[in-house]
Amino acid sequence: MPWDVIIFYIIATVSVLAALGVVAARNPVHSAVMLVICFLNVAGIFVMLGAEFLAIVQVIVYTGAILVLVLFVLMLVDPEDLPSFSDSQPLQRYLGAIIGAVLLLEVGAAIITRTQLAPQGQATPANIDAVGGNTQAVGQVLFSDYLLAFEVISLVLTVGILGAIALAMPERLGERIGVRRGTISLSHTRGTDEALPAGPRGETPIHIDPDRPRPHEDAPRRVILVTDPDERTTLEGDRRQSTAARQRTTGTSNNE
Amino acid sequence: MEDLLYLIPLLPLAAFVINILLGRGFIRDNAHWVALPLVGASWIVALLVFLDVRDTEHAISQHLFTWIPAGDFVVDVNLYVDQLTAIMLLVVLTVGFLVHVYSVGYMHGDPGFYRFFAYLPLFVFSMLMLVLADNLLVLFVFWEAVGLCSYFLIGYYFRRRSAGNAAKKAFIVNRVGDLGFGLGVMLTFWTFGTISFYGEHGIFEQAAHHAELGIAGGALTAIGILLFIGACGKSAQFPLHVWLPDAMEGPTPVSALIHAATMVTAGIYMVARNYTIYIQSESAMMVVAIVGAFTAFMAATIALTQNDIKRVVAYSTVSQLGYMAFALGTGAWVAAIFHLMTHAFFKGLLFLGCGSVIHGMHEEQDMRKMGGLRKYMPVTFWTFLIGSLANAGVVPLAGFWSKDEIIVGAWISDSSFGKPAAIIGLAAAFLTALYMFRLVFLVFFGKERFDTEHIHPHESGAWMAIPLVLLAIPSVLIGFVGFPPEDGPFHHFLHHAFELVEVHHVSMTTTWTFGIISTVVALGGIFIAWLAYIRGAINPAAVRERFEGTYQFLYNKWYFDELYDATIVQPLRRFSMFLWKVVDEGIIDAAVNGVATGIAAISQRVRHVQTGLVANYALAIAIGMVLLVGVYLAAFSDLFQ
Amino acid sequence: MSELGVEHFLFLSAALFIIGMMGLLTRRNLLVIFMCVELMLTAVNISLVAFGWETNTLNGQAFAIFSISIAAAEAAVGLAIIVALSRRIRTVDVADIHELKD
Repeated sequence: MPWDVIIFYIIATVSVLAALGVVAARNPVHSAVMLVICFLNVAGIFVMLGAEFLAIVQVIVYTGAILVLVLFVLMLVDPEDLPSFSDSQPLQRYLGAIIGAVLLLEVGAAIITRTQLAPQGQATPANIDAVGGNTQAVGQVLFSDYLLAFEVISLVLTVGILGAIALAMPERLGERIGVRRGTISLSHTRGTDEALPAGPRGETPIHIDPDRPRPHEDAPRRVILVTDPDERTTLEGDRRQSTAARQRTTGTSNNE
Repeated sequence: MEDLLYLIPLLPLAAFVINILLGRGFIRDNAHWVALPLVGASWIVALLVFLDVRDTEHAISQHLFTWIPAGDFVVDVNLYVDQLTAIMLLVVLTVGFLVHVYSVGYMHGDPGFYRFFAYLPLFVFSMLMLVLADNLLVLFVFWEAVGLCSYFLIGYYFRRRSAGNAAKKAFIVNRVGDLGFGLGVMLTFWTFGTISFYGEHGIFEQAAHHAELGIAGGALTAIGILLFIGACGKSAQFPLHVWLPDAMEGPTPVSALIHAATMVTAGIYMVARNYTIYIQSESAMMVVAIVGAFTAFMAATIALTQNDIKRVVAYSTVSQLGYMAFALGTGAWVAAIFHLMTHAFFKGLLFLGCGSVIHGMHEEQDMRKMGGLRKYMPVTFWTFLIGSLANAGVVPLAGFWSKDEIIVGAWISDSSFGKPAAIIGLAAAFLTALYMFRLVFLVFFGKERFDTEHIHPHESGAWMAIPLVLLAIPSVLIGFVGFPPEDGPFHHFLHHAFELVEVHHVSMTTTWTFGIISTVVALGGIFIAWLAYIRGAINPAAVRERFEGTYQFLYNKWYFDELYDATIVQPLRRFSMFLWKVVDEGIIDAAVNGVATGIAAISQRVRHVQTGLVANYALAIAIGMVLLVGVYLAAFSDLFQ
Repeated sequence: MSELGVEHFLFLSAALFIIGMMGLLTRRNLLVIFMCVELMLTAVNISLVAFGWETNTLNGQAFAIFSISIAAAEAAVGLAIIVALSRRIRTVDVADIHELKD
């Protein structure tokens, strides 16, 4: 068995195992680490396929940027908000397994029975060496055949950044008083499983006591209930009570 | 003068635009200061054009713009003035201007004053364009436009239900006629390939030489009859006359201008304009003559029994229009236009006189509640008397000359219906004198039959009196333009417009004979009215009881309204109800609603698929992907080969 | 399979893709789901590059570069959405996010 085949099998095995680890890990941080391992191995695969530039991009962009971003977000998200691992919907779980198996069979059959239709191109290893290597060759393709797509991609990235800023920017007013005028009603199950007046759904209006002290910065977590833009209130849930209730329902979520 | 023709219709149009746009906010009760000068200026231009046409003896025209340039089918909007148009222009603008003046007094204080003085110039504009048109399509457009103005003005008091209904009736009955006219226009285009009147390939040139051009005479007959159906609607000829008496719901100046002097003569004008087609078809002429003669007689009999002062005059109008129509039908073209002109003046005068009486009597229209008004309103009385004498056809007032000429023209015509028409005309002339003087005696003579304690009739103000006097003058004198009979200046002037008509030379004996007969007939009618209503020698009530059946028949206007209601309106109504209740609600709406209900029911079930859970959507996508790859494997791969 | 062929890479790609898809279907944590999506994208990239390698063209690599760029943009927006969700309705559990239903 040639060396390259042996190396391929090693890399492939590691990456598949790492991928399984991503899916199976209880703790999202573990998932992220597994994903890093998987992506590094995929970079190795790219090297084997003669795509050195892509391998570097894979390492820098995926493992270096995206996954670090994921880890940042993981830190931003309160662990209490994370769902439990074991609480998955059974239907999804069984159907997911069946679909995965069927798809694997189908794709396997497709790969085995496939016929090569595309003609051979000019980018033979000899030609690529002639222009100075993989990076130069890819650069020439990108800036000639795919110039327009390349420019469009820059636009897409700009828009993506703007969108991310717009979405993630904290609403200053809302952050300060805990309520934002005109907020969409997000009557969340966790918000409503506490004892609430009948008002939030709009059946009876909630009377706001004007003398009631405003919630301040370090106020406990609160559920925002807005039935219409002009009438809004915050119900300050008892943090300990709601936390206890959540722990009852979510079980081992903190262990994830 | 050609270059100034456009001013004639433009000035009234400007008055309309100014008053309708600015009337409500700015002009309000001063609207007449916009309309009067502009319509007056238009009259002056028309007078200049008339003199120009009289001197040069040539038709003049002005090209305004090309309306429809569609390949071979070109419709130009041209203003065309020949002798016939020149007469019509003067008649329309003279009566129109005087009615404007009269309206200032009559409509004074009405909340819709500006509106009235917007519609009136709009009507004058449309009527002028109608007579100035040099092709059938433009004529048709403004034919509809005058109908629209008539609708506006009949329904001027739109808060009154009867006025609204009368306006609708006038509009709908006219639609029947306009359908005929529209078909006539289409058939004309189909037959001649053009709708222009004049020019080398114009309708008239082709109609005159239709035999050489291979155009069937039957087509000309059909065109003539179809166009006359339109004329029936507009000129209130049997069987489409029913709208005109109801149109008296409009303000009296409107009745005078539109429903007596000008618009209703549009049908007569249109037939006269197309005389080239009619003289080629004896059948079409015959239809026109019979309808006209019947209308003249029928309307006169109805007028005998009506008690509403305006309705009597309205039926008189229908009757006189019938005269014009049978004059057209018997080939007395010039006589018809002559009568059109004299009638416009004296009938306008009569209507304005009616308005003055109604105004003075505080909106009372029933003649039975009048009487002895002579001493209360002398100006109205004398002018009304002149109008009545002219209408009755008494020497030497305007109506005598024109009516006499129509009867003579019918008598000597080549048409086989000529002599019966002349006799019917004489009978109608007798009735005319009778009903006109019944009206005069009932209104102005005898004892006051109203409550003198509370009602104090008064003479109308100068705004209303002056037009009455100004219209009385031509009512007396205008007949002399047709003197001597068949050979007056009027005939020489109009001769150019009716070139193709053979001129009959009437012997002096015939002229004198008929002049004496019609005078005797008219005086006889007046005498009987005098006997019945002044002298008391004949008791009208006794006559009425003696002929109760006939009286009821006439009083109910020959039951035309009831007949139409039973044969047309009610079946149509039932059919519409069927379409509404069964077809529309039962089938169309039910189908639409059923589809909507069905979709709503299905959606109600299917909406549960939308769980709102992202995981379910992802699952659906995954299943779809599996199916897609499966389809690929089954259909396109070598797996099962 | 003694010689390294394109099928090797395609099978690897398919395996990674299906693992990612199963994670997507079964996990409830939005962040994990996000990572699974990235895994699936990478699996597709392997296929693209492998096909290019097979036919001696660079189009596959170019496509993969675009794919990674899109993935970067998607990561920015997707993570921002997760942050916003976490801040607004205090959850990153897909089973709890069903506002669309109401």
